[in-house]
Amino acid sequence: MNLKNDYENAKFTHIYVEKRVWSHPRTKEILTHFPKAQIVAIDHYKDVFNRRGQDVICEHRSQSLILAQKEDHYFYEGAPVCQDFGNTNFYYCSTMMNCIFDCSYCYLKGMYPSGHMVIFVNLEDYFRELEQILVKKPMYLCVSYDSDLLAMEPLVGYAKHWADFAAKHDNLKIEIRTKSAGHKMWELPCLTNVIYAFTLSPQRMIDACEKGTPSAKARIACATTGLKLGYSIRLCFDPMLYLPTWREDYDTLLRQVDEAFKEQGLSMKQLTDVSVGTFRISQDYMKKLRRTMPAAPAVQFPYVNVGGVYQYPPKLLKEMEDYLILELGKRMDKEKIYHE
Amino acid sequence: MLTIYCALFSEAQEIIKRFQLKKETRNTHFQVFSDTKGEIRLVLTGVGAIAAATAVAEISSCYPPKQTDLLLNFGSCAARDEVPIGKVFVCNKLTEECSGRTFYPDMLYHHPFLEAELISRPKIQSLNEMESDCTKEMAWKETRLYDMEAAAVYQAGNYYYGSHQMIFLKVVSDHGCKEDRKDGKMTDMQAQMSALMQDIAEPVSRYIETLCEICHTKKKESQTQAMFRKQAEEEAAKLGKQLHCSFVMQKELLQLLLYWKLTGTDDTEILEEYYRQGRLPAKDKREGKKILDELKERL
Repeated sequence: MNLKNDYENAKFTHIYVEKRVWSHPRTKEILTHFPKAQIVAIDHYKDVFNRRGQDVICEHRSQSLILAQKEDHYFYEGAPVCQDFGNTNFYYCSTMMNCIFDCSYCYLKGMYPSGHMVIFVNLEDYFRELEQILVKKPMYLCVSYDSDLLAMEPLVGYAKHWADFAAKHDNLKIEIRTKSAGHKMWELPCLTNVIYAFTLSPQRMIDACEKGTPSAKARIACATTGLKLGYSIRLCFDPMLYLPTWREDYDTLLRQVDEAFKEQGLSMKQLTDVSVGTFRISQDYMKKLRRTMPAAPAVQFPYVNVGGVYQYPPKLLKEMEDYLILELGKRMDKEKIYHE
Repeated sequence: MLTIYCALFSEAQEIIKRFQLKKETRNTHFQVFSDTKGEIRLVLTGVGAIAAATAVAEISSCYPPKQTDLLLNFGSCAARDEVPIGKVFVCNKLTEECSGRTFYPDMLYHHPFLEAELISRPKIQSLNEMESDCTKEMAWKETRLYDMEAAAVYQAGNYYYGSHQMIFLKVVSDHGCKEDRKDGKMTDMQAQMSALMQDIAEPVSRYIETLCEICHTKKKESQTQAMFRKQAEEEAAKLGKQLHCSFVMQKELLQLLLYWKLTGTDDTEILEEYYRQGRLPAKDKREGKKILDELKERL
């Protein structure tokens, strides 16, 4: 029986709003998208987001929105499990917490105590602090790690704000990573220091593990359209997930990529770069994921724990990454292929 | 199972009647009613926060709730004049007035009622108090309800239930305690309450039925998963002995078997090969480790 169809609320039927951002223009703008939503005034987002004993999976299915103000810690140093693409001063920031998509293997389900989504509406405070940092040093900043900013673009327009900010700061390079494929994406500013990074997965993997995300074909089409228009495009074959048919699946994916590039008269050499990485996750997050998602094969795979990080057994990991690196190397310069 | 907590018998009697609940003989400090199917339990807590919290704690200790169970706090409340008597609300925000603490039950399931914020106070709400309260900070338009138990039920319940398992359903029974009402006879008030509960019995009962269905569906899902895991654990225990597994090896083996089961891999065929070759049962731990490593390679 499908509980979702029968009993559960749809996404964003409830919106929690911190009283201090009640009058914020961005709050008002976001709320206009949800005229029927039940609005609940709250003192602090943590009163909802950090409650004891939440069921992240149930909450994610009937996700509520929380509009809040970020007070401090606007920027974090990039985690060792994340690729820096050869950049120094690698940071990331969370203007949103949690994602609209529902990927079964997603670390966010292990990292956050709640399945609800938080949007920090005070984006200008991030910019203010970033201005001060950029006076002292350049920065490589990933703005779409703990959410999918581009998937939420019609609602909040944060990717555009980030791109506009980057346009004024040469020493800032930003990456906006996404699994979305919105047609209006390419109304965003076209800049050399704003990289639009598309996570690509084989369709079989999308069907099995990436609920609610656009198809592989749609993502590839969107990425190639952007590239054709002169945008900086990164393709991320990360995370590579194991399925018994992984080799065949990635062959198909690469064939789809080849066809799309050919159709647009493009070469993969025109990409900013690509990344390759098999699935890896911290042991703490995995522990929670395994408890909450007992029926998800991607979570229940017998990973090996290497220094507190769960990953594929070394032989399989090497086989998968080497295969893809080899295949990509046939299509583009090896220097542009990043992997750990 | 759905456990319903009501303060008064007059609030509960219509539910007891409609769902044919029978009084339990188990000796607790509270009156408990339940159905024969084991789907609903109803507890009369008595009035006030301490009584409510004690009831939730005692009943939850006697019958520890599972992940698939739900708690429903159902009862009467007060509201300002503009909210009609008999209006039913699901509460999305509970504030305990004396501590100033606020709690947010998850709103995951749809329902046919309106939603409101509820304030729990240690005494019966007077009209004056309610009016002054509502002028304080109402930039955000919320309907406010007033009761004496909900915040306590949430706090006590949260030791046993997650915020996604607790639902607070309140029906407006009055617009605050007026002077003339204080002189009213208890029997009259009970009769009024019973009449009110009869009026709203239909939608409330349907909602309770829905909550029972949710519990039932979740229970079935959970049982399937538990059975699946138990099967894998039993197999892992048996095979673990034959492989002379250490604690860590045993964990690895279980994870492997779970994964195989989830992906529909026929592990009996794989293992049969080892039995045929005479490698299973393994002669020692070293050989067992070697076999386990080989099995892991066969993903």
